[in-house]
Amino acid sequence: MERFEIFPLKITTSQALLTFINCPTSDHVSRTLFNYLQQCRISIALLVESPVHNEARNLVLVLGEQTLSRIQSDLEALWPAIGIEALVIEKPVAVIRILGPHFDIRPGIAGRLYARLAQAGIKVLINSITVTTALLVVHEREIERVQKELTAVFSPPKSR
Amino acid sequence: MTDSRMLEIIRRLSDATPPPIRLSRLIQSPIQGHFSFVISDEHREAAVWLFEALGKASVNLRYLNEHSEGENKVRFQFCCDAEAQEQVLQLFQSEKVSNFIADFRYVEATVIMSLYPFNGQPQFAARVFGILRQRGIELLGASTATAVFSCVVSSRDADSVLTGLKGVFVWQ
Repeated sequence: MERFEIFPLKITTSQALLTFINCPTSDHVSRTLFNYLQQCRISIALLVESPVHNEARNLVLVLGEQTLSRIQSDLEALWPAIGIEALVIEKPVAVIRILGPHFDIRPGIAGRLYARLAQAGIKVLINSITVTTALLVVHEREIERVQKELTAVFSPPKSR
Repeated sequence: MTDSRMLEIIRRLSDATPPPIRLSRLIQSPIQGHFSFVISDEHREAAVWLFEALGKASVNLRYLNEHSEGENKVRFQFCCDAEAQEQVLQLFQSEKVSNFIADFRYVEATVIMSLYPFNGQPQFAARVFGILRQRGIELLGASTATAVFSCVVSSRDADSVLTGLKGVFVWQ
């Protein structure tokens, strides 16, 4: 099966995955949380937001582990105060960025990527695919396995 | 954690003057079908079958994300080009998928708005979420890559979103 060309993988380790469960949909919640992060000069490595039942939302953020340690006590105070049901933190995790020159004109890449990793039994914590980029968040212990499986779908730069 | 500490955090946030944020590019996708569903870890093979079939059929997924919802459940959402919607719906009707998914949702006409440059700025996210919620627009999903912030809304809301974004970003 054809392998898609990609640019070199970018792997960022020592990250933390924060899942804010059942966030109310009011403007106040996101404004307070993101304004706080902005004031602390936090950079968000990855954000995913999706609806859940009862008009609540789940918000997932990936931040540097060291960054999180600096703000964790404040966050623990903030989330219940603004009506979020729970905050789940997983660490250490890694963000793997896959960038392809033809992602936007070659259908089927996202489907094949997901199927390959799932068949290999790799637990992908977050998978966020846009027109040109795929970001995968996995436990750090899974990095080598993910790299191996990716070679079945993608043509790594060194072999071109 | 004391209430006074939380109040101090919120007071600091209220005092802050929002900085201007530059928006250099906004790309609106063609009309998309938006699908979301939940699947438990034990039935993940149904999602594998679905995405493998989508890959083999060369269905163009311009937006896809998955994340854990706790209790061994994973939520997926994705968008496909309008002309592939029927094909995708047929795959969902297969018993290999339909017997194992929950909370299935399909929105026929949506658009993906891709805004640049996100570059990890929390204030960028605050403005996008803020304008959508102030205007009562349902956000079907949002995700980021390094430079891009993507959000999915109904196509009937697209003009309102554009107007709102023009009011809260500095366009360059």
